[in-house]
Amino acid sequence: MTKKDLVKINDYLWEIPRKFRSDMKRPARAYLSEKMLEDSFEDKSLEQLINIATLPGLQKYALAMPDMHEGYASPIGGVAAIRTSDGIISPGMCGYDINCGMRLLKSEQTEKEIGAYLDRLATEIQSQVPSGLGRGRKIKLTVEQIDKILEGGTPILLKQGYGQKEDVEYCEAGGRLNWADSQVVSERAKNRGRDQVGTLGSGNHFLEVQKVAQIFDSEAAKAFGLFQEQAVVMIHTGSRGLGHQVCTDYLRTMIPAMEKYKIKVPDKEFACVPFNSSEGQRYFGAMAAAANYAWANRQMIAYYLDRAWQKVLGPKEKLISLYDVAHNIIKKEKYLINGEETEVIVHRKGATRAFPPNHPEIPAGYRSVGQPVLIPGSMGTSSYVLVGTKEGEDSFFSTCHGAGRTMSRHAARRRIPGLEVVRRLEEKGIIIKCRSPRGIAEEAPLAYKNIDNVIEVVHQAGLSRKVARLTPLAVIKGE
Amino acid sequence: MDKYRLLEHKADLKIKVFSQDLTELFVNAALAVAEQQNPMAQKEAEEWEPIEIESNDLDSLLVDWLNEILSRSDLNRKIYTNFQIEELSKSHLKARIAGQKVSQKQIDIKAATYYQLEIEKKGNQWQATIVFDI
Repeated sequence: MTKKDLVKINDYLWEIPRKFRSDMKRPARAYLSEKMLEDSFEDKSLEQLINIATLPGLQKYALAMPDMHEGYASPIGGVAAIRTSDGIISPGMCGYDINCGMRLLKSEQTEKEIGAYLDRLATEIQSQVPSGLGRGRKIKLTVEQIDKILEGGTPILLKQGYGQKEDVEYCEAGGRLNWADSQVVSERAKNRGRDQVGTLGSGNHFLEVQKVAQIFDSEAAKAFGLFQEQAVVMIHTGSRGLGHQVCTDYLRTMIPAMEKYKIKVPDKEFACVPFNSSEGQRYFGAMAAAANYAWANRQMIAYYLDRAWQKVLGPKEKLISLYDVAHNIIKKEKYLINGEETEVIVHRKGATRAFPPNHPEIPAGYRSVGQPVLIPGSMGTSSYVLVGTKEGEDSFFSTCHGAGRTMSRHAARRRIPGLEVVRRLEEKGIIIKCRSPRGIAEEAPLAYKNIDNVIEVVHQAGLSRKVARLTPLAVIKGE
Repeated sequence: MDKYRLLEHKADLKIKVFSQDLTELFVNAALAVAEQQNPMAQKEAEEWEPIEIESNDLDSLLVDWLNEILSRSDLNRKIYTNFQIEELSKSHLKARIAGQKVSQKQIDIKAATYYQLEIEKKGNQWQATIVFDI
């Protein structure tokens, strides 16, 4: 494939026509600058995007966000809206880390006010939130308690005293998908989840103390409770081993079931079944249960972050949730397609939902400005708070989820030692707490696209709009 | 001959495994997982655990074998470094595995995927390419 195979729709949108490959059911569209498009030929992300375009029931287009890069099955940054009446559901288009996502907590303090305590804060946060790889949480829940989390999500933890009412109010879906079914989640998955509620994981997952460095939209910033120089804390993690097991279990079910439903996919990792089949409904219930577990995980982490904050800065200082949003998830939504209201399941794989102003699913306090969108940068670089826009309907109200890798982890390790990354961050005055130099090298900023460029495309393309830029003060990673 | 080699993949872990026969291919793929989880992991066997897997075909059997090891590694907080394959056909595997409890893993391998999965026999040598989600 070359640039000639794509049609330029505008400066930030490119289309691969349906005729490009005979098995495409719809065209494929990628939101990219010209330079990003040229770089994308270096990996298989466009080929993977074309594979999305072959899925039965796909509506309008297979879509890729500006942070697109090669994954397995879908590219990371892929979006597929599939009609529920006659379409499929595909675990590979959600991924192993179901409801991997972001939460942003806001303080009432400025960077200056916490500056002297920052190192102690980072150390305390690291000790309060284990990675959960080698060691889990000391408390091991019973399977019955896990069942309650799978069906109850964040609100269950709130009832048990882990959190505040804002944690439910300012969270996608109130931290609970009500069609979750714990009965269709395997015992193995539940057992993997027993000591991982409140654990961070590894890879690109992190906790970060940040400051509000720049405000672009003062009305939205005010509605979200953000102010210049404010100290905030960002959480990036997902459903841990429980979510991975749900995806593994259902791929094992769906691969042989495809023959029964006469479905063919270009890559087995896209294995799918009709949404309305018994296998499809069971997966949808299990996916929702894992999503609830992920919200509970971020909730428990937020609870321990608040404790660390109070322990170091005093009992009056609190962290309040600004918002929590998934970037690996499958949700039922309705859109006007060819003049008809159509129910679709939107598969977002490394893409964030971004609802426009006045959408009923946005918390009342934010409804007039739109849904907050939380976008992490790579380690040591800016992160962003964005807001959903009406124009985002073209992308099924989806936007990017991060910077997007440009270099493999292996190549990053060869290019730069972990300790050198630490030194460069420390030169910038950023504190870093991580037990593994390898983990730091793999997540080095040079392995990622420039987040500022990605956000500029998102903003210019109208997928969502810039509200604030956040810069890191302290980074806490698992292994 | 290397047991395995790391290949380039932008986001995930891609490895190519080499062996003289199919049994060794399954063992070497599992060893690659252990070494990626922690290259310093001790290879002492503590307690042997039985594994039995039925799959549709050889591709699925390899993916299911690696995912069973990853799943137990997460569940039991172990790195598995010892593998005894007792029976192996294109759709069935019976084995025993053993490892050690660890307090730290370098990476969390979420799963072995089917993406770009290839198992082939070239002359007297077996090769498999596997992409893991990390």
